Amino acid sequence: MSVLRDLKQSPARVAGSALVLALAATSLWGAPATEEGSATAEREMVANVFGEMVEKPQYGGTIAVAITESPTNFDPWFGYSVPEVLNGQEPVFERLGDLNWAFRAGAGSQPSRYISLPETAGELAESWEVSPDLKTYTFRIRRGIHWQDKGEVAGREFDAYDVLFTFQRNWGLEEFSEKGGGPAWWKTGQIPYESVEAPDRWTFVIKTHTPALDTLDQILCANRCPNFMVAPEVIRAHGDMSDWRNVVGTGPFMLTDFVPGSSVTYTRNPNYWNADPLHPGNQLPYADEVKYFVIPEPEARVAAFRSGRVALPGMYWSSLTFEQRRTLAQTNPKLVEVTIPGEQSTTFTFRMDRPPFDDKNVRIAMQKSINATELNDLYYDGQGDPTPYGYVSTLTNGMNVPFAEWPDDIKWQYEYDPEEAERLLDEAGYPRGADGTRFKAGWDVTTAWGHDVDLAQAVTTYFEQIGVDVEVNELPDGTTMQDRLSAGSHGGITAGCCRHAPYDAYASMRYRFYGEPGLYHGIADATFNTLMDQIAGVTDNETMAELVRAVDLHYISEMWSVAWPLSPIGMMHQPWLKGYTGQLGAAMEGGVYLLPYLWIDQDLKTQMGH
Amino acid sequence: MLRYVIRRLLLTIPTLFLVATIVFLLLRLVPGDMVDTVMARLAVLGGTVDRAALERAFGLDAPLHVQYVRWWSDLLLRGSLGISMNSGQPVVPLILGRLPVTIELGLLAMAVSVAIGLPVGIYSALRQDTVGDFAGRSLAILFVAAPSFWVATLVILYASLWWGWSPPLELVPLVRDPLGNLRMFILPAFILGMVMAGTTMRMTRTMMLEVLRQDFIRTAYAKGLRERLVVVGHALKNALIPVVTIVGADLTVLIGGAVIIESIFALPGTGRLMVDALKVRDYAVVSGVNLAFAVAVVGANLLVDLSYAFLDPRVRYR
Repeated sequence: MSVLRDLKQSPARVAGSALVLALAATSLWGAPATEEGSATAEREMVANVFGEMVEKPQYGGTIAVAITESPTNFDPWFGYSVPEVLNGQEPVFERLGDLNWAFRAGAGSQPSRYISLPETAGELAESWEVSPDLKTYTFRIRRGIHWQDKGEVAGREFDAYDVLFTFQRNWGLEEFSEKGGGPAWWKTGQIPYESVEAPDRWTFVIKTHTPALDTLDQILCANRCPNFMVAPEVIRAHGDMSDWRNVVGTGPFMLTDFVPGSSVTYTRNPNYWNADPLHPGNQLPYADEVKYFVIPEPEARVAAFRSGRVALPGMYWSSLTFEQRRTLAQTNPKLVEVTIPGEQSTTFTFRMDRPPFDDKNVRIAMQKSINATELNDLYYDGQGDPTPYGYVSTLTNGMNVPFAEWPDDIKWQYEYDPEEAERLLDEAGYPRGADGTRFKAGWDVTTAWGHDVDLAQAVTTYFEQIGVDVEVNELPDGTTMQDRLSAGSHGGITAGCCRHAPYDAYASMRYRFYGEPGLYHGIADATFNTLMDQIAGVTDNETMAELVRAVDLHYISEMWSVAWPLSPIGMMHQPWLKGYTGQLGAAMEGGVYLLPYLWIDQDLKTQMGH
Repeated sequence: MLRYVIRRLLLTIPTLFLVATIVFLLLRLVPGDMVDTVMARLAVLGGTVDRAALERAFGLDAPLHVQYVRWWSDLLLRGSLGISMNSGQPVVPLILGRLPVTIELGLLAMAVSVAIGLPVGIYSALRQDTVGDFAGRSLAILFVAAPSFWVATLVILYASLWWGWSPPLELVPLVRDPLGNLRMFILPAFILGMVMAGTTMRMTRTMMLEVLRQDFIRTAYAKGLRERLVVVGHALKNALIPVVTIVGADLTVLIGGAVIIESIFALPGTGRLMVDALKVRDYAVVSGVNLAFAVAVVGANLLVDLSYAFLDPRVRYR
């Protein structure tokens, strides 16, 4: 499974050596020193807001980060794709709400959409009130925030009229009625708004037609959402901010250079309003500069990280696979690794509108063929969790049904029992053929969606043992994947979902399975659709949690997918990058834009030759 | 000669038309479109989108023939290659912004190719069937046989493992910092140039061997001319004619290689632009870059043909 290990053990090493030596002069030219010095200098310690003694954060330096895709447009109006939101816009712009960096996350405290979120903090909005009928949302805009001192807006104080302008632009209201709303409607467009107004300079009000439990979350837009506030003067002067030189926000960094497809440079906003919630006296951001380097190739990205050219190999937990982390930990033991039990993104869904997976017993048989404990030991070195789980993440507050609470008949479906699996397949009318094969199926995967192809291959060996020949089709990109998924033209199994979803469990379940038929499984499931309809009308958290648990259990029971060990997902960073204190999914997964809070230990970095 | 050039230029029109049409149609045959890309991205975030609205926004709701006519009329009437669906920006400036990187990489790779291929080829021919000749020929075969993406990946992998080194990441403009710029380009250019060097080496050797057996070379030696003068002044110029053809034809190798090498070394050239656009089915960008590549190849072939007159005075254009 390890490319590196295989190469080390094979004659290719000899060939590689020759080639590399032939280029040695070139390669070493301009190379940074790699000798890692000992970081034993005395560090100054201070207490954080929790009273813990931690290293005193330092100001200055550049945080270099590898990203896989280049931002293409920094204007939030165009922000419908991940690279723009996370890579391009986060450093410059801000929303009404954000996730709280000082929130101490731990198991069981993953942000979830529909329970009140202690993780959510005001960003540009200092506070808010929701009317008892859940139809009027009033936001008090924080005073003392200024636009970056640049262009037409020139450091003017931010106010509620800017918020009003942004919402009008997003929704195609007033001066934008002719142009229409932006492609970013996907988040704010779900708000059933009736009116939007700013009665005074510091108050912003949205009224909705119908009450909905998630409207506040959608307006605050705290998590992975491009509803960033934009300056009216800039938009009126230029039409939009497609030219990166016109990009102005209120955020911690200012966009100062952009080489499309290569790098993005942000420099510290000297007038940034926010302080570190863990160290309230400390003005953010700590770093003078943030540089994103676009490195699409995984090997090149890992090499850049290994050599210390970047402090972070990506902005996602999934930026490194388990195998890459294991190899890096061996070759560069000083790298810091942070792991959490996370989403198993390689799990799949059966196409259930046609044989053989229209038969529930076939789906149960597929599950029963998998030895989760063995797979965990062999593939994840025992670091994963083989306990079965449902669609909703076990980290979600009260929304999931833990395995211990599953009824016995459902637990039985998830027990490893290959003999029983074979019996179920015989009964379902799929006996072994002359070559021992019962039937064939295709399984679409793509690394573009973070699927672990090696893991998929490993899982198919279990299916093979019960006579099911599953071919893993590795697709080149997410677009092909989505096309085959939408058309149902894959070989019966499609990856990309659907277990242990940490965010938006209800929304993503609805997107994937609601309707006649549902997108992923191709059937119309009346029970599921009814539960979803009920959820849409719920206005209290308790009922919402109860219904989401019911729908999760239905999903688990109907075996729309199979479960295998949860991988310990993780992130690695250079030891000189400091300040991350375990904010779990609320941080590196993309909720909180973490770079303003991180700082560079310059001495350590120098000692390590970088 | 002018008439010849005009005729050749006129002949490029149907060629480019065909290339553009084939690319336009092939792109639509590839599974998925930009709407799928957006939906796929939103699915990751739990968002939803109105497919019909997105199709309207991207102009994909119109029938294929309407899209086709629209693309050509934009190009012919307004000189526009359309708007990138992915970035919302015009395609022409996008391509122009990336061209310098690809041109620099190509020129450097070509320089590497000629710098290695010519001398080794000449040496091999002059020392035919010696150990040096065998070494040169083996090197040529190795260069041709080793895929550039494999060599590039190995170099990056082993350099980072053994020396903690990886290629520079920041693109520095040539005019601002030539040395810094060269640091970024030299390794990819060398690897890309290797493939072409192998071909150049083999062709140079073969042609030199043929020319060196000609009577006029024997006469030159008989007149008492020094070997350097015979080889460089007489043999090489004659041997170079087919070599120039090969170097010109290598432009297609360069473009194909640039697409891969630019991705591996994170160089923001037109090759990378096309790969990125292809991943998200940004039709306008892919069509535009392909057309630009086609123009480059057709132009290079024309230049090669015209260069014959300089290299061989006997050539006349009609």
